Amino acid sequence: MALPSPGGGYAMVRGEPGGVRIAAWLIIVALIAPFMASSAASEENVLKVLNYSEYIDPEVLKIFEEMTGIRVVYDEFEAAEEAWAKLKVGGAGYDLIIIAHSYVQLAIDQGLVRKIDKSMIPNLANLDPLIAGHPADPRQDYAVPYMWGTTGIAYVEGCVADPPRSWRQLFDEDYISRYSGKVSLLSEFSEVFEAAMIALGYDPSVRDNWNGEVAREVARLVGSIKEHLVGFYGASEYMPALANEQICIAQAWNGDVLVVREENPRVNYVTPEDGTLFWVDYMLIPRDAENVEAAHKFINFLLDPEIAARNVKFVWYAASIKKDLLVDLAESTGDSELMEILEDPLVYPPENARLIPSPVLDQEMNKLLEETKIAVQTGEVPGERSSLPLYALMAIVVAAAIALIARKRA
Amino acid sequence: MEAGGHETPERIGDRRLAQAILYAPLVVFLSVFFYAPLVWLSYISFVDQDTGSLTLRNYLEVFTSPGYLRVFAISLAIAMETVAATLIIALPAAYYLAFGARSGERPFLIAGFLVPFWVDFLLRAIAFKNLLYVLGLREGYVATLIAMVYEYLPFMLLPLYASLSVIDPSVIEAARSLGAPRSMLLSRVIIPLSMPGIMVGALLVSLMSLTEYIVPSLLGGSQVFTVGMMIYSLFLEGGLWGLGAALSIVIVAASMILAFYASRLLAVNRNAV
Repeated sequence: MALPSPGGGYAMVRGEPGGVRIAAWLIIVALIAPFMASSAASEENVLKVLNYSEYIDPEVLKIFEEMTGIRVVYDEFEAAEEAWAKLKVGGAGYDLIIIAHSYVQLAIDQGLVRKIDKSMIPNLANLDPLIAGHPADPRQDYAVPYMWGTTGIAYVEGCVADPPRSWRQLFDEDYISRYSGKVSLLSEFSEVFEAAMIALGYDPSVRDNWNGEVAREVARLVGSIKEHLVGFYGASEYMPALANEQICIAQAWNGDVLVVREENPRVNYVTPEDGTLFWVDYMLIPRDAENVEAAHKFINFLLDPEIAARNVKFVWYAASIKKDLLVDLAESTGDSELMEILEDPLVYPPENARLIPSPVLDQEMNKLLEETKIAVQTGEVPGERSSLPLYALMAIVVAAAIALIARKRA
Repeated sequence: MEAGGHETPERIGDRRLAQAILYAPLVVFLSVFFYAPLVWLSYISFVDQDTGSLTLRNYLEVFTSPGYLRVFAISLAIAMETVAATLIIALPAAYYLAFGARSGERPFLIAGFLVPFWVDFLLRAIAFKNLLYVLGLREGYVATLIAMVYEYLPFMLLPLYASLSVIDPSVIEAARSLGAPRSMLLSRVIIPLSMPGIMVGALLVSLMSLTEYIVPSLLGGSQVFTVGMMIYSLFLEGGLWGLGAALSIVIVAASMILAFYASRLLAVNRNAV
């Protein structure tokens, strides 16, 4: 069964029981396989690929092997940090690694990836210009987009009478107070910050908008609704909370909501009309890759519409190639299953969605994020309630401690 | 100390060596796993992440930004309230264990008090979250505090029981027979005599709860943000190692000073008893 995968670069939570055991096996296999492969297969043509778990149709690998005669050694990982650790040492024997966009700039800057030979990948022309233009590597000099997804708003039908349509609405105190204690924002503060920027009318993909002035506005806005939030939830928290309807509204990633919807069909997803951030997972050829030619062939192969369609149907994430190519394919072959996925707003955002590439963060932006986070968390923003009771309490405690010590000394 | 006068210099040397062998395993272990990384951490705290040169900027920022001070104040308040609450709950129980309980009853009671703490504490925190939902409580300051008290009760109970159980019951008998009312018995005899236990318990609980990360991040909701969470965020989300290291060093230094003074106070106390 084609279970939707949450492995889209962010959330690595498995909905099905036994997932942990499978994951453990995969990790063991991932650790052992490169060694076994390198000793056994020095003669034949082998391509070693490292990808997120459940992020490809296994059929696709067989087709590639039959077409090219190249044997594929395919390993999976759960969290991007694992793949990053492999990249850091030059690839750890892999010829192709798929990883979240947030690592791409770092990998390029640190010289951990090879330049792409574009003449070997004619299918680059199939790429959706919007996805290809993501700032992680807008010209595909080092990294080629594989699949992508969005950050939006999940809600539970029935619990929410009037679903939020925009970030502006989600950050509106009058609106959100109606669902007080039943709303979560993401634990990744960059996502909260960027959503609040959009609500305030700033484009987060414009570097100049990341300044102190905007940060203060964001702090004030997030601070104004904070008391109505149940918390800043990561996927492992908001997924079960949505499924059992402990919360009604959550800032969420589309792939996770797909998984939750399998369990509770009342859970739905909105791509906010004032702007939806999208992220991209990239294919990289590590510095020490041995079979560079096969890696290029594989990238080109994955960008073929028929192959991309298979993967979309299997993992339920949007492919990096133009949607029109897939629609044409679905129409010409009468593939209703593919058509249904292409029309699902949870996989492919509606035509009118305003898609904004999620920005690549530099150190200054990280600093601004941390400062704003502390401002939000401590209420160190003008107009917030005072923390006088807290200080009074502390003063009493300290005074009591001093009195106690003084009495002992006497 | 007491036998030093009778020994020859070689013998003293042998004794020193024997003593060194006693504490060497601990020293080696802590050096590798705590003090060496701590030195590395303190080096990072003096490095400017942009230029790579040495700087005091990180410390300046930690001490001058009102945000950091406020986070520290919140953590301190939670730690102190946890100490107070665990003390209030554990003291009567420890007293009963030491003086009230029959000797056959005691092992069962101690086991009964400690069993709830055998579960791994991450699992406990997650289970606690669900339990609070069942009880109708949501994440927040109160939930964090309740879970912290649960977390650290044994660290208060055991030292208290240990210090109370060595008090000679005849001292209490004497105070009673000399006509001391119950309140005076408590304030002039029992609490002063159990002071070493109170100090150890308070020290353990306050140091551990000051930097607690898991409980406030799972149960604090949107309302609680502690030093532990801030350090995590600076290092792992913001990638701001210099700032995170400076903050960690300040916390470690504060804890060490606190521990040092508490143990000195304890030493004074022991001599007085």
